[in-house]
Amino acid sequence: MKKLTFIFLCLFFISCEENLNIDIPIDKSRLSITSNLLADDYFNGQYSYVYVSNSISALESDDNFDYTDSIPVINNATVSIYETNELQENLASYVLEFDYDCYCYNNPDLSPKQNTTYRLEVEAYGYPDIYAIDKVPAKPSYEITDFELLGYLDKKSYDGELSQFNLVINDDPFTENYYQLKIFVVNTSNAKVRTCSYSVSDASFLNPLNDTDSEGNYSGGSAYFTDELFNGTSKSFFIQQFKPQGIFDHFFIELRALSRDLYEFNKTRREESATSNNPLFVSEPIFLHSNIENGYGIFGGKSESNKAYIPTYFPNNGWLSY
Amino acid sequence: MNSFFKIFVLFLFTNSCFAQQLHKISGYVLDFESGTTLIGANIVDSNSGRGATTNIDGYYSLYVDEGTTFVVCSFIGYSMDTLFISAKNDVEYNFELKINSLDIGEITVNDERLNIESLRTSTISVSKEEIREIPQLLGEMDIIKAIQLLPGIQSGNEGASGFYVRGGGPDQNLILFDGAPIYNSSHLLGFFSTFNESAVNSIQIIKGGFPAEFGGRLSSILNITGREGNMKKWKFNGGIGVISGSLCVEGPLKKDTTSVILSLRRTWIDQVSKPIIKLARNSFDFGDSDADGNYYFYDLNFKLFHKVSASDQISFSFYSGSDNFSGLVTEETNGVGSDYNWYYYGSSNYGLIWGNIISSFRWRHLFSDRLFLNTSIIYSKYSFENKILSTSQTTEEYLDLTSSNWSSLYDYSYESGIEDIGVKFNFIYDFRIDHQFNFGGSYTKHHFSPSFIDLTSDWGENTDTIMTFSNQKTPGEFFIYFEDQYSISDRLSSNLGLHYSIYHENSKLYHSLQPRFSLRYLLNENSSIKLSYATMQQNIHLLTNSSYGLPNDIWVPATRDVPPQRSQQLVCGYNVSFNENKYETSIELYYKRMQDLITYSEGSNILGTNFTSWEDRVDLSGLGEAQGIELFFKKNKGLLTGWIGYTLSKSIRQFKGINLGREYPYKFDRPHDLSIVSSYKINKAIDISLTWVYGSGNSITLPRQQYLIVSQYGIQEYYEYGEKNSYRMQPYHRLDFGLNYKKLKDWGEKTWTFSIYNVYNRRNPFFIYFQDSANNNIDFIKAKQVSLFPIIPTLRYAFKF
Repeated sequence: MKKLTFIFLCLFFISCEENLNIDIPIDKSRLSITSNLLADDYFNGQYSYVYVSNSISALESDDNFDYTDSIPVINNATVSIYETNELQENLASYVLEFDYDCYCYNNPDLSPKQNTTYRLEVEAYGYPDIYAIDKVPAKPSYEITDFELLGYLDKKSYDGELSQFNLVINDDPFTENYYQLKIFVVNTSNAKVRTCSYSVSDASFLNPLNDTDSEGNYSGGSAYFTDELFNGTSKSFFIQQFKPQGIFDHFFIELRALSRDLYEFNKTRREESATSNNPLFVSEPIFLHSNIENGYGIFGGKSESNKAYIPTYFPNNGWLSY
Repeated sequence: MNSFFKIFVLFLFTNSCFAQQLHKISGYVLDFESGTTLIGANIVDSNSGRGATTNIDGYYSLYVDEGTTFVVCSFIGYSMDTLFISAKNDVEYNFELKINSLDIGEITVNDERLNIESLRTSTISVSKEEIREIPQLLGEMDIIKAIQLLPGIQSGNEGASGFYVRGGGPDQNLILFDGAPIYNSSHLLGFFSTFNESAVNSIQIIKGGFPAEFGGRLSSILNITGREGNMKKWKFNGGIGVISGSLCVEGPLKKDTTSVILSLRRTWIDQVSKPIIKLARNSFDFGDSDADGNYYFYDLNFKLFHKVSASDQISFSFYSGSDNFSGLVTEETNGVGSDYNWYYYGSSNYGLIWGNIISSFRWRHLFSDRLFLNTSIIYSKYSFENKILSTSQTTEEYLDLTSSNWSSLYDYSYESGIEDIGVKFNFIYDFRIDHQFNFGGSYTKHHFSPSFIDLTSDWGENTDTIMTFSNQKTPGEFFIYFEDQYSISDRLSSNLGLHYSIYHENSKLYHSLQPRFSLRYLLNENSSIKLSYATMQQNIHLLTNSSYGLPNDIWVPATRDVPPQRSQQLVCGYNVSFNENKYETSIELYYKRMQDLITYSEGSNILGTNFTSWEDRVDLSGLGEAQGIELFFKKNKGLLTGWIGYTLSKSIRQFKGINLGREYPYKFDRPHDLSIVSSYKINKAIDISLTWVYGSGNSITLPRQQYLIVSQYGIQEYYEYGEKNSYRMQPYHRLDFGLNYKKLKDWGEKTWTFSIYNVYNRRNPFFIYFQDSANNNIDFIKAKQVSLFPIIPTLRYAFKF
């Protein structure tokens, strides 16, 4: 393609280029945050964490980021998370320490609660203080009905349809809910976890985050949807699950509820990723969603509700909370 | 409303009581040599000073007082013709004007007195003579580039043929060729327009105060009429330029009754570029692969004209133009494995084809000397096609003399387009000297195919993917209009019009009643003030990701979820001519509001992130606002002619989902825009011309900060952009020079045209990008500006006989 582009340019452009001294307004460097709060998890760097890095001018080299070892993160920031009530009054506070294992800030005493609001405050020398507020949503409530196991979990070469079932979500009518659905197969003996692809045909899955085909069918391993079309009702989705190759002993469904900010952040990230490096169908610049005041990034709450299917040849079998 | 109607009718008829004894002179203005009609010719009664202009069919009507008078007919490039008449009855008279292009004396490029008297605001007719004298890129006479030199009309990027009128978008211009709309008016990625000058008769651009006859676009009407063939004898003309050549043949099939014209233009850039490509292939190491490419465009115009009777004329016009780009990349490799040899051959064919086909059938009928009808049946099609066909064949030959083969296929096709078929009726009724009624209607059936994707991929064992995606729509558009050109007094005239349109897409109907009015008050013989107001509705949108004239912009219709765009425009102006119309100055102030604009959502493009409908990828309910002052000074007579146009303007946009909902400058907001166009006739054979243009830089969005999103899954870098379109590129300015040398020969006439584009080699910004650089082992990012055209001298040879 590069060669073709070269020929194309030879044909069309008698272009010349010159270095340009652009006066980009100098913005003060700010902090960039990547932080997730998973309900009932602990801040240990796996699912709940705070990463702190800095921004630099668009014309500066990557060398100008702050580094810890060779990782572009700041290790001397003061990071605090406050549990607050509806009036933004502090109910509890936690100071997070830099953890060289994950290069992020953790505090194992902090376990985010569902339906609870948290405020993040970060101070670092040379950067404006930042803060962010987000609410960890309630764990989603759902049931599995009309389940049919169609394939073989423990046959290595089998990669067809494994099961089909209805996922029935009991949506909370008083909140805007943002969901993410994943299905995993697990081999307990070697601790191998693989993502399953699944397909579903429903208008709720028609959004910019999901890859749907021309008839509106979603097929993939991680779909996002909102309750915009079924707010406050009991909504059933017919799911067809496919198994990756390999030997597994059970699978589980992970249904996540995301805060609005985290959903928007993921959405804009997906859009940015999908449209970059496309010279012919170039898009306008994308503004990544952020809820960080005076900074960049995301402080996003989420909760998840998992159900596992254990085959009948195990003593405890059927659908279990996971 | 009822009362208003009664007052209106009373007003209408009261005035007739005071009408004096008048007689009407009407007919056509024709070229003496060819018998073809002349559009925009001026006819003036020397006694009363009343004037008229021939319409798009070359027809005029003028009232004169009873008694003896001179009626003078003039047209640029032609000698005046005078009719001495003793008016006692209505008279039909056809003027036949003779060409005077090789006269030694002073030239007149327009009779601007009628601009003072004209009811229209913001309407400019540009003659081919004027355009011909303007130096052009690569010597190609370009109508669209020429009108970009007028105040209030701006170009997009360098070389681009799209144009932007009073803060509007390129889709908001209705471009008509013989009454049929053209959806893509450019070739070569927007650097040349589709209009072959040898096939063009007249050019008129309307920027505001729109006549009720027109609708469907918010910002301008570019009305181009194709030439009719010579009615007297066969003629040939042609030209040879740097990148293209043209040939035109015209003549009578039956003298003074039926004529035909056929013109063809084709670029030979594919031939010229072959050595460049060969050089590139030899100079660069492509390894085991090879690449080749080819590009050309062409235009074909055909028009048949037939006078059925004194009161009936029919014509059939056809245009076909297309751009074709193709490329081929091949790769042939082989190697040795542990116990086998392998061979690989792959090829990829790329194709981009886009173009227009339009045709129109027109019937002009004079019911009487007061009622004129023009009926048109039109067809227009624009299509864009992108094809990629990749195949590969791999063979492994093992030591045991067995072998295995496998192949792959990737066949991708993307198409988008629009197809229109419609009918239009325009009546002109001379009710009285003080009232001329224009009325009519139109129906157009659109067929939109915004994006059709067909994908087949086969990677060996079986066909992996067969996918088609299409969302075609077939809306209809109907409108009726009525307009009264009303002379309230000798000094005050008005034009009151209503345009009513119904647009339907499936079961969704959009009604729109669009009032239009213009007022003109003559301050004295040489100056007038004008006021106009027009509301417009546009039922189609153009989704565009870039301004480079790439053909991947797609036309989409208004739908249930995406309403039509609307605008309201108020214009007031002052026109004055002095020194016996040698000089003309005008100043116009305009204010335009636009609603229900659409644009791609942030991050979306033509394909989207998946195969969802385009309606899910746009931001709706956009607002636009444009305001400005346009100054125009023109010298019409003398050896030196030309104009200076200056526009001071501001154009903004606002969408809820763009720029955090805040208003931002339109990409082509250009506060200052200046054009100086001059032509000097040295003698009867040589004329020279200079054009200088200056414009504020385009607005673009630049990144201001870069930051990281760090997680256990990796590190990704993102940019923080400042306010949308908050950075201005460097100003654009350029000087062009042109020289025409004409010589009469025994066999006909030849013309050598020498021109220099961008005389002082200004590196104007085309686009800006960022690139990692290194200096003394220190990495940094440098902004680079790409400029397109350096100084380009060109020579063109034209002939006619």
